[in-house]
Amino acid sequence: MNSTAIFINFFVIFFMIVSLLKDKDKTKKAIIIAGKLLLKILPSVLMIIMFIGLLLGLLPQAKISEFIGEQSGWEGFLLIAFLGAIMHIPSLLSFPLAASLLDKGAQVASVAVFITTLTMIGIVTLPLEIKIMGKKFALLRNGISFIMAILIALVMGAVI
Amino acid sequence: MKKELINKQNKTGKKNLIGLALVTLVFLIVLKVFPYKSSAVLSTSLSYFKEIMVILPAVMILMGLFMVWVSKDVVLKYMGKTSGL
Repeated sequence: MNSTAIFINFFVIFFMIVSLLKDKDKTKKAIIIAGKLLLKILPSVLMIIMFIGLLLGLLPQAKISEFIGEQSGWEGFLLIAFLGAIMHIPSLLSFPLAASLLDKGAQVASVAVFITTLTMIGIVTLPLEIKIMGKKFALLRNGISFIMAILIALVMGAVI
Repeated sequence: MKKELINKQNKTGKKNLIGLALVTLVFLIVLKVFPYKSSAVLSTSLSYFKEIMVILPAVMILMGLFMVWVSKDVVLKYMGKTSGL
């Protein structure tokens, strides 16, 4: 267990105790909501975990860095940007995946663009976004997000 | 509108389950086809599972507490149009 996990757990236990002291019913409600959320997210969690296992277990390190490492150039960078835009993963789960790629020799800019397009752009959810938020809003937001994601990644690559 | 949203959510839930089934199938097939790789695949999967599972429940409870205690008015006050930049 790493320090982040310990910190988060203590943080949550503290708030749960405060909440319990203030109002039992509300706390119960909160835990029920938490359970429902957990059940909802679990399929994607398992999916990502198996995906990471396959990716890292099967692909040799050299292949991964060939695609998205230093020498991959613009093609690898844009490929992973689009991949991030299409894939639909909660950001909470994208970090372990991104960290594993970084571990395996991906360059910082590629991993940064992956996380950013993953969280800011949802091509899968675009129809829903258009329906609820309107065409202009959805397309503009996603388009600007893509440009910004590339800018963020380039800055990240230069800084780190 | 609300009903439509709930319908859509149910649909994405089903899609998630189908996706999970597909990935599980591929996972099992790969393990069968490459038996010598299976220990590497399984151990990486397991280590990531552990890493996520020590954080995820806590985050979900935090979200639950937030939803219960922070009323809509407060969110509107701080994030709505009148909150200012």
